[in-house]
Amino acid sequence: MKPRVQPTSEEITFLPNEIIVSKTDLKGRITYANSTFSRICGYSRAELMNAPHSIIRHPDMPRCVFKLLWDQIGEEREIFAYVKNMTRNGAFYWVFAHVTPSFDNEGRVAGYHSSRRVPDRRVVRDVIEPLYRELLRIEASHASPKEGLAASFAQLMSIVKSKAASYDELIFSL
Amino acid sequence: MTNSSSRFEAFAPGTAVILLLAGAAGALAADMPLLALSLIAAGIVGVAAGVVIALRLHTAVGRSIRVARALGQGDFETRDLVFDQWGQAGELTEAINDMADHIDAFVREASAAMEAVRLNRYYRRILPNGMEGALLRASSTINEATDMIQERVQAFEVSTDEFGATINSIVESLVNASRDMGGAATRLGEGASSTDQRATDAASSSSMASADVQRVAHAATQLTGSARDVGREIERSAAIAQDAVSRAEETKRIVAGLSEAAEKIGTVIGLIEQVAGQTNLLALNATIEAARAGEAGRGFAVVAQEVKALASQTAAATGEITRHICDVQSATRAAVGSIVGIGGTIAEINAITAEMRGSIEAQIDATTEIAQGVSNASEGTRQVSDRISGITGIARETSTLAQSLFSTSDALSAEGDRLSVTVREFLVRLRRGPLDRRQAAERVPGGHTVTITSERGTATATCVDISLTGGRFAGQLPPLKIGDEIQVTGEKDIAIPGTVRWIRDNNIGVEFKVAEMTPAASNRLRYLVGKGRSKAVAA
Repeated sequence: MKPRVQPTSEEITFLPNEIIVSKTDLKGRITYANSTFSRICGYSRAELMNAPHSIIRHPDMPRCVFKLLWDQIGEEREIFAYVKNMTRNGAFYWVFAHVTPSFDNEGRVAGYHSSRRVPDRRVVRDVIEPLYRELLRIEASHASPKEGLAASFAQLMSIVKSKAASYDELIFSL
Repeated sequence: MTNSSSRFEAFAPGTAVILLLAGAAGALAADMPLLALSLIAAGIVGVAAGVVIALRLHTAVGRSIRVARALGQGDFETRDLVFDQWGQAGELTEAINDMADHIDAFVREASAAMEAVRLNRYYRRILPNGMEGALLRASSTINEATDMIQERVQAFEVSTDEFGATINSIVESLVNASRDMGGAATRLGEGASSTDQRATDAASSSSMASADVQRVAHAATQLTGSARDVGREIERSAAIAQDAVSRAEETKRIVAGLSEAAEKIGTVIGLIEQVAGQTNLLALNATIEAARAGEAGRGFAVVAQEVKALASQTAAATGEITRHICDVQSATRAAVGSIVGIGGTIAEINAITAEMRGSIEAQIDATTEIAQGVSNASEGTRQVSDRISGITGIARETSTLAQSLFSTSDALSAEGDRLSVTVREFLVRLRRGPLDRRQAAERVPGGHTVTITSERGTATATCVDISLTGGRFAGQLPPLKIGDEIQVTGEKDIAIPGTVRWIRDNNIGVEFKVAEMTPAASNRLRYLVGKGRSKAVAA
């Protein structure tokens, strides 16, 4: 394992016509990363290949968002999520991630694919950042990580329910 | 790495070799063999470098061809995973991967957006970020199409809602109307039945009345006859009385004549009494004379004595006659009084008779009128009877009509219900959307044992194939007809309702009643179809 990266306040951005692409196996280990990914996160492809996707996880991300992500792709459904990632040197970059399952020739799920685009800064600033802060606070407020995750997930679901018919619909309405 | 540097990479070793060889040729011409050898050696190194570059490019091209072929075969998972190469080989790798990434992203976006449309989720749009050129245009086209589908589906929803509401209201009116009609038919039937009963009662009453009237008519006729008899009797009595009156008058006259005769007899008797008296006187004188005459007169005296006795006898007889005549006279007077009384009585009788005649005539007139009236009444009751028969007929017809109306209203009500169910199912299917229907109709192999229950019986069959909307079953089937409502019960004792749509040999086609399924039945069906699908894929 590499030494723990300390997050900094430096923000990295990329262009609207660029896509950060990665593919993982069923366990979330990276099997492909495009050059944009490598350039933005600062890890070389050699470092990225076979690394867990959580290598770029930022501590500001609530865990319940990833639970929702895994739940949904586990049901072979696509998911969109605003994600704050961390670069090799602790800088952060916001993406609007689209995660979908990849199928083999027999129609079985063989892995996952993620395309990340430049997010709408207004949505990130006005909705996502305050929401994630709140979810993170709930997660931190519980002694057991399991309970914290359950509580923040329940909160996320209740917010979704109060605003739209589903999480997907809510995300697309932002 | 830039294009110019790529070109440099491609041309540099060749150009260097040519220059070095040219230099070597020049060195040989200038008789400088050492320089020429060095230049040739450098040229060989350049050729070797060119060969290495060419080989690297060759393998990179090979990998790119593999990725491009995979892409061509629809495999968007394959990438060139030899990264971080310098020069054109690296550029080629990144370009190929980038192309794969963009096509991959587009395909994922497009299929996800279309899948969302299929599931009637219209909020899902293709994100234009990262898309360029034709991919961006195709994305826009798909998004516009989604917009349009959404608009149309919304318009369609509104229309089907309106249609459903309209049909429901029609059906409701229809059902209400048929219920009202049924009610009316029931009342009509009851009315007709009651009319029939009343008409029958009336007919029997009328028939009884007719008989009564007939009897009254008969009695009236008899009464008229009797009255006429009585009239005739009275006429005869009147004639007899009249006769009696005239006879009494005659008797009166006779009695009056008798009385006069008695009066005259009285007068004669008076005379006789005068004569008898004078005779007695004369006899007395003769006796005195005879006594004076003595013996000579003795004979005479005897005669005188006899005359005197005769006179006395006469006087006595006349007295008696007078008494008798008095009796006759008083009797005659009494008779006259009686006769006068009889005349008065007879006159009274006469007057009464006249009155009676009038009464009898009035009675005859009255009974004649009664008879006429009764005859009319009889005709009337006959007509009433006829009409009542007519009414009975109409009432029975009405009753029949009411019955048929009732059945019609029942049928109407049932049709209304059927319409309502059909329209509801129709709308449910319409709203589910054509793509969903195609998926729903996708048949997968079955194989499990089911129990089929209908009104006609229960039997065990095998599911041949199954979809979300129906299934085919074969084996020992209960007696069934097309249109039968059945329950298909599988392993989990979950009954799925359906309708038999076709029967061939030992096979039946069943359309499931999707709208009537319990959530458990729906889930079970989805599970079975899913299982069948994976089985089919595995096979």
